[in-house]
Amino acid sequence: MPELLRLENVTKRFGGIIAVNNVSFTINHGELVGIIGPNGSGKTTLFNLINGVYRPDTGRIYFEGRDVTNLPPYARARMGIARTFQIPRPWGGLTVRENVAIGALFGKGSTSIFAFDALEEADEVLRLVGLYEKRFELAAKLTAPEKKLLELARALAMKPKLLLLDEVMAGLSSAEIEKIVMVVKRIRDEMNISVVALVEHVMKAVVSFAERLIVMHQGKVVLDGSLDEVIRSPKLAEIYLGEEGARLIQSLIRS
Amino acid sequence: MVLSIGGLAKTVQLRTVTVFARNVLARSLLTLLVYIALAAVYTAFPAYSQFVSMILFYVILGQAFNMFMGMTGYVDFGYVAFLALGAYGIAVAAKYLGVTDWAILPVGLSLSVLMALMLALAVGLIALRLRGAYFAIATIGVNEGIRYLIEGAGIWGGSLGIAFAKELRQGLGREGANLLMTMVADAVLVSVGVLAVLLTATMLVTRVGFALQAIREDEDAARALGVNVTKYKLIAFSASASIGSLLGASYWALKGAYVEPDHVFNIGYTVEAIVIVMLGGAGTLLGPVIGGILYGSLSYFLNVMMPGLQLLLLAPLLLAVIVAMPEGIVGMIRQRLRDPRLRELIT
Repeated sequence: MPELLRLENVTKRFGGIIAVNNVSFTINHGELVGIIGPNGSGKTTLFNLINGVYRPDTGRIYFEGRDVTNLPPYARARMGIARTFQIPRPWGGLTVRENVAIGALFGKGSTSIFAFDALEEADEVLRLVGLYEKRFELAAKLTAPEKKLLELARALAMKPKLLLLDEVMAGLSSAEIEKIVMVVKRIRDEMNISVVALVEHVMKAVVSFAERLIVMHQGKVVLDGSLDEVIRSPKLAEIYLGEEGARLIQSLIRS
Repeated sequence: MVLSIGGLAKTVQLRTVTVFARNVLARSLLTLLVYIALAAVYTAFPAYSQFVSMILFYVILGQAFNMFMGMTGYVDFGYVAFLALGAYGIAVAAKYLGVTDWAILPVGLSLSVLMALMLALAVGLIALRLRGAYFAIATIGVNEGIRYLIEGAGIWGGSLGIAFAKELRQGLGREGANLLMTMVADAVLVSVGVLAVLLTATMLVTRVGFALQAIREDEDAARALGVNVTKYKLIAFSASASIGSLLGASYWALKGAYVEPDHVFNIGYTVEAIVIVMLGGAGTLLGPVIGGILYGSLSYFLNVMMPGLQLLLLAPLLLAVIVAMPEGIVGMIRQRLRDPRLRELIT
């Protein structure tokens, strides 16, 4: 699998706090990666660095071999990096379909001046995520889970190569999580899109779709490997529960 | 032949997208119809010509302001500076460039748009980096700054302004000048309105309009989703400035053959533009037209019926309307619609 995204020694400081500390990893085409870590471990900052909201203090970011470290977010989006927001940010005064059409208009490789084709593409994507019936509703009127689906639809309409999902499963029912997991797996299989999902708490969701896990703790990548390797690692429990908690869990597992 | 066109129409009808295209077209035609109606009243009842041109002024002012403020949510408090520069474009061409024959139209109007575009680029590249209230405050400074520059440095006649009726009469003859200042000026005014409708309709069906509305709703999300926000804000700002300059050129300079800084840099016009757009419905095609007709008529009749008191009545009336309908008249109709599909149609 050829590489899609590469981070090299990326560091981001906010005053005295090192939010992301010397992080390096590579994401390949078509990978399903989960990034987990406790609150404040630097996951969202890492996303904002990949997406271009922040520029790293040191280190470089490459996308498809091109150095994108200093490119603004919209330029990276047009290269094929799409994202969702942890707290959904739909364009509330526009209809659901218009929201998704904007994704299609400004996504990868889109040069169309007129919006007609984009509106049709939006209909297709809305069918995929199951929001087709709501396509003429104002986005502000959707329920919270529907807004998450809309975020996903908007990102998918951009035909990305790398899809960054920020806590897309938090606050959803298990049926809704199943649906998102199904959609994500389907787009990976059909379009070879790499998906990187940030997950803080809903471990069940991560386990059900990620093939590789990256664990962050205090701004650093502490574990990176296949799903099995990482969830069996004693270090994972240590991060979330502390040393004593980890020992307790280990003894519970043994007994 | 007829059959094949019928078949084509049928397949086209199946696409919901064409509903969107059709309805933008329908709204554009409806808006254009308003201009045609106003022009008809103007020719049929010469006694009302002054009233009709005033209504036209407010409708076009609303449409021009809407292109930027309505679409992006940014409020440009210095907007009237574009109208002022437009008026000066005609005056400078007549007085200082010696263009006093019919070439005043192409030369003067081009100069108007050119000066407005230069200001739009200069202001836009700096001030469009600011958001919300910061942008509004920065733009007030632009209007006042240019006015004091002209008055203080004595440029273009300083605070006295430029009167060029005499030059026009010399170049065009008495009758030609009269024609220019009445019928021709009003014809230019209507054309500017039609141009504004076509530009807005084009925006609404292209990526430009979609980008601008995304910026209005959430600029950071727009940036993250591939919208080059500075570029599209600058496009809208320039379009709005150009139409504004043509409006100032035709309604002020061509009709009056006189430009005075105190009048053309009056921030009151910017406030009126804001009121018209808010009243009718920001970011819509029909909104500024409805807002412009309502505001223009109200202000005209109140002015006739009780001169001096009209502001006292108009201000609370407008406040009430804006409190009751924050989305404007068109916005309110849009929200009240039962069928959600219609919501996309009425904008």
